Amino acid sequence: MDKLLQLVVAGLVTGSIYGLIATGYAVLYTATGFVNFALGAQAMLGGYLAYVYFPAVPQWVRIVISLVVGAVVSVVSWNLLYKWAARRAMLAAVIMSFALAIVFEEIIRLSAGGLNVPAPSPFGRTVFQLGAVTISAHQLAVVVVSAVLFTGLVVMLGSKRGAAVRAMFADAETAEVLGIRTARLTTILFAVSGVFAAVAGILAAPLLTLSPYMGLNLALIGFVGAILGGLGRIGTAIAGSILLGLLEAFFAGYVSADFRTALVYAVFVLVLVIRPAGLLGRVAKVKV
Amino acid sequence: MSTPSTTPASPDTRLDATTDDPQPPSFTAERHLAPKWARWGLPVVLAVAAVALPFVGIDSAQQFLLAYMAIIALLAISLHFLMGIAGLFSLGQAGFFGVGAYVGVVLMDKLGWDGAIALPLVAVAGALVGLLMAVATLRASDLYLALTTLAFGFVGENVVRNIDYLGGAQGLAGFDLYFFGLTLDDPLLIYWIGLGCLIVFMVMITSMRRSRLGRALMAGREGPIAARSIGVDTGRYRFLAFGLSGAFAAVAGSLYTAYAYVLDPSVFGLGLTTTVLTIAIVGGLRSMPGVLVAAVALTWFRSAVDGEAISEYVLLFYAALVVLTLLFLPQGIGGAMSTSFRRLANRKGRS
Repeated sequence: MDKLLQLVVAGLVTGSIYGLIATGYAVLYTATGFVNFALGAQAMLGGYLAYVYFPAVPQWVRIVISLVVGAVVSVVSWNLLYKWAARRAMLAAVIMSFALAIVFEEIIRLSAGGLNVPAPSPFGRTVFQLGAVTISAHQLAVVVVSAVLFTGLVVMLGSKRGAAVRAMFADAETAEVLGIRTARLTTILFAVSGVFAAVAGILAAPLLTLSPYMGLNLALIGFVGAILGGLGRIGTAIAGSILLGLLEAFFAGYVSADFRTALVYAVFVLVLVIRPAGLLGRVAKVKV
Repeated sequence: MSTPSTTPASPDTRLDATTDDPQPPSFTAERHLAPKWARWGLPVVLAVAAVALPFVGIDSAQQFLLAYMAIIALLAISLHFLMGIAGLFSLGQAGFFGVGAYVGVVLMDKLGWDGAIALPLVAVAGALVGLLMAVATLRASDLYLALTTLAFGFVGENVVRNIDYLGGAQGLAGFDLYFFGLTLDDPLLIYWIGLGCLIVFMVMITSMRRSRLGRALMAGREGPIAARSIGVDTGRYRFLAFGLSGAFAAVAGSLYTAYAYVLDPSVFGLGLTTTVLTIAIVGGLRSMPGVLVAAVALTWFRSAVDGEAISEYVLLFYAALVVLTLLFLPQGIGGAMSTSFRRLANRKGRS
């Protein structure tokens, strides 16, 4: 029982981090139909900016820099690169984002080295004992920060101003006809996804140790989480990611820690075969 | 429409569809611009020249380069077939390659089978992985293809890394491989086997393009819904495309172990995926000559800078090249060349 509770905590923590990436996917996918592969690499970039570069600057400043850069990278890459490729074919833009992820990975590898870098948590090393369950300050912070961000996003989308975004999710062309500035909204959503990715990187680094190669792994796992729940809505994408985190923790705790990556993708393939719309997603008809 | 999807609208997932392209879709545009002798003679002459190339008298380093070029070209053509002909976007070529490499080593080194039996079995193993990939992507939107196929490489790496029989994270080294009784450590033998597979595969693709099969594949690429409406079972052709591509990519992987003499989980890695993707995108997905030229040129470039300081930047350069090509030259070198060639031919015809 104690082990079970401990695994639930671990699963919630990793699931929240996957959820941050998955939210980015869901927001961009519903708004533009684009799957941004580079989100994982952006998370990695955020982690490096917060923990490795500019060691002389106080950490909170570096975290702010990391968040700002996350938003800027996201917005610039859409407006300068993906948008033009997406006009021709969405798949070209997806390949482009994959290539851009490799570019980020290589830039970081060349400038900071390809080895794992330890990242001390900004929340200190305090460990809380709740009954039989131990939870570190960092783990607690991960859950709290993600919960705040998720609720913030949901509240924003539910508000009156958020109605414009929802209108765009439902039908971008009609929204544009009704006078909603979809281009500006898309830019804002890209900024949001960039910030979420940077937060994911900052939160994940002390748990996983930083390396240039963590990016694509995060990108893939976040995507699996989003697919598991359903990419079409933000809530289902988050729920799917947390579910995936729990599944992974249980598998690692009870079956085999070595083969957890294989499990994640086995789940992925199964979902795609059995229920491509996601466990919680609604099956939508393709418009012809 | 029976295929469920989460796609709110159906975005255009074709990689190189151009709205402002003056050309009609290329499967209807298979017009012959070159005279017949050039169409048939040139490839035959080039193939004979490629087979005879080692007799010109080249040193050992160049022999190894040739072998490597043949392996990479085979892998790149397998991607050309999947992406350019069938329109199925794959980042899973490294998955096939790695499976081929490991199956090849188990059969030829651990079990001591001759390559003449083992290589066809490797192809079967690659085809099976391809079929599995096809199952996984059958009902999903094409935008998921990228991540789905990429996941196969990650699974492969995770699995072999944790199996001691396959060398674990360190990998295996020093194999005794045979092909028809000949030791498979001679780069020229590897080159000729690779070239043989490459030529067979290219002949298959070329003849397929003009057959019912190829037209069905290309119809699925141009418009899956339209293709289904005229009775093309796009799902079945997807199995075929993934299976065939996987078979040849696996053979390439198996030849690679003979070439490299070591085998570790990095064969599943992103470096290879990026390299092949760069070759296919820069060469032009739909253009077989373009892909071949890009395979030879980029492999030569990589070996030329090997050991130099800039070799560290090769992957960065490749990835940046993909971004720039997609932005400015969406049809790649091959596409750009054939467009200007057509324009030239049209002008000549009019005047």
